[in-house]
Amino acid sequence: MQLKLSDMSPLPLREQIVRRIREMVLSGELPEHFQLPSIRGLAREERVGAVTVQRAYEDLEREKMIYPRQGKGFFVAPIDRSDRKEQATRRVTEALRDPLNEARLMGLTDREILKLVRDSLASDLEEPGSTGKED
Amino acid sequence: MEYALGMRDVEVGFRNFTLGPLDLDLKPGRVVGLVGPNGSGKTTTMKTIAGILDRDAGLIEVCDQPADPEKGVWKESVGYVPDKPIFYEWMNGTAFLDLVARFYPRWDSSFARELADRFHLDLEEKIKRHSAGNRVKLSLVAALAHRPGLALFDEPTAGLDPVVRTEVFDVLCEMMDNGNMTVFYSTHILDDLHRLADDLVFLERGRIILDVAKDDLIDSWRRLRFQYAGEVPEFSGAVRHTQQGRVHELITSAGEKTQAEVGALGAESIRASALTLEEIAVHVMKGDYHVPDA
Repeated sequence: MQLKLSDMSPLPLREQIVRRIREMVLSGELPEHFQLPSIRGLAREERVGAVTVQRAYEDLEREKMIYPRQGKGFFVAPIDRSDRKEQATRRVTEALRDPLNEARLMGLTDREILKLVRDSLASDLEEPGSTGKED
Repeated sequence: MEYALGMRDVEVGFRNFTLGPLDLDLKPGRVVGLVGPNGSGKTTTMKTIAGILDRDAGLIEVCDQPADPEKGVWKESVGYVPDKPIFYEWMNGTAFLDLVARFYPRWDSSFARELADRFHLDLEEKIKRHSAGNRVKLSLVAALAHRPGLALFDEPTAGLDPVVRTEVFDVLCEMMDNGNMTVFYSTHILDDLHRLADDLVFLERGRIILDVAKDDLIDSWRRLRFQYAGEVPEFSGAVRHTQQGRVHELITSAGEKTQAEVGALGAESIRASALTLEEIAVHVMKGDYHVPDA
């Protein structure tokens, strides 16, 4: 499991861990009941503090993305299809809030913002399945 | 073991500088950064815990053993990497480690060799031929081979090239992984340590000004941008406020609370983002700190 944490990201490390694992759970990249690395193990792998990993796991547990088993560590929670969609919708809504506010702060009108989103969808983003970024 | 290190009202006085009184508890298995500008007392703190400097007042406990200047038993739980290691230049690494080993009944010579291997350190080479990086590696091996419960690192990676630093941090990560060692690590810049650290202790003019879990510190500080046309009040926790027309930017040490106040005011397009640890450290050092609620 490679998280590719970045020191350049404006997001704190804990938030980066949460987002990356959430992404992998929601996309199905990590299968149901998959055992996550131990807290110390992931801390060593990613060179971050153990407390940061522990808190990231606790955040994910609260979101019901993962569940603990006594003495065994953390596992990927089963998430059904409609839940997945709902979760994704909620995440995207949350993720869009900041850039949308930023756009308004910079003086763009809502109409201009909508056009931006449509244009981006048409050009920049790759269709699922054609990402070619698997590694 | 409740604490790897406990300090109560510890004071060390010099003619023109007083350290303390310091009160500090470090939990087992944590990586703790001791952060402060030059001259804030980091090295004095390290030397006092290591028993190299005598304290004038207060109590120190290491791994539940009192640091009694008359008896040296507690020193077996301490591994100390000084800021300027002193070696006998004519010795080679093996001879130096043999010398250090005599002071530690729990010295593990096979672990010492393993550490030296991990560092690609040639123990047969004379110390006078060692590079700066190899000197640090040798003092790390000397400090860790008896598997101390408390490792004190006084800016050992300052001035080292990134490759050596990475090697040092790799070994540290691994030692943290399979043991209950606590690392107390002083630095005036938040370099590689900012990723590994669990807790941060800020030192300024000989006093602890903030002792906090790193993630709590990061959570509590926020940069808020929003639009508001009217007069804005004083927000709690705000340490800086700038304004361009209707657009405001706040830096706050009470993130959630301030954000709620901004929201309650009726501000629009509120955008919150985290500060980097470096930015936060600068504010803390300037005295703009706020102790997050436990």
